[in-house]
Amino acid sequence: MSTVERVRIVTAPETGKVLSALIGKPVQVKELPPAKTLDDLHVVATYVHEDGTLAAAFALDLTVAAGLAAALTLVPPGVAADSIRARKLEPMLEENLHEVFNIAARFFSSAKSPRIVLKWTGVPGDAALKQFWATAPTRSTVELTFAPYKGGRIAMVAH
Amino acid sequence: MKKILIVDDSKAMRMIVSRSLRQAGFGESTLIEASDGASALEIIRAEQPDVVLSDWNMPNMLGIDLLRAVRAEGCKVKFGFVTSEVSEATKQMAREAGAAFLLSKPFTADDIKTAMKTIA
Repeated sequence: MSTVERVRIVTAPETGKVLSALIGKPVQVKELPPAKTLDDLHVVATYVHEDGTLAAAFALDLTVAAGLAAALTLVPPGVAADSIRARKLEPMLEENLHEVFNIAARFFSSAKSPRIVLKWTGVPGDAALKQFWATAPTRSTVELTFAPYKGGRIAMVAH
Repeated sequence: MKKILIVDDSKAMRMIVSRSLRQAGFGESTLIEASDGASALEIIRAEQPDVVLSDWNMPNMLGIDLLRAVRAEGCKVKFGFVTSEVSEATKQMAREAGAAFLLSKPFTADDIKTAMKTIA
């Protein structure tokens, strides 16, 4: 596999379909101008090629992170709202969010594309990650709505 | 399908697979769970499930290594993967090791019903 091969990102409607299948609820999507920085994004995951080189990153704002994590296992919206107020996901939602990140590898993968796997999740403070994000040639930012949870903004980049 | 073993390191995903199985008409089946391949192997030996639904990427033992270990012991349990892996290479590896299907996450209850029909 060539590490210079461009990684694709799924379209906004496909993003909605994947997330809708994941949480078992309709997810409305609205394409936004691509996020050039990780500012205002609460949590980020990185994805690597099989040789360990960084391939892609996926970030969420706090409200959508809490909402998706809660919706995954039918946690009441109030629990997500508590985490948003506290500006920190409670452990159960953190665990659920990890599974969201795991499945989000689908945003960068297809049957014929090189294998991409989840490598790391955390807060978007690392300088190398910020550089990776800023220089990514392929990017997508989408606003999600999935009542009764609070929606928000997700952003993806790929090299 | 009397007894179905769900193997996934994610508690959330085990819950989702269980829920989907019930929605797909397997509410009468006994659903048992394991959080990694190594403990799943012990459960398969002890409980002899009718079907194993396993994740691919797990700590201690990958799903594919679990399947190979099971077959190496001569066990013919029906085995399917439920995984975020979608590449053709992965699907081929699963088939060659003796998996009946590879269901990609995320999935719907209809998807799991269709997959389970292939081993009914």
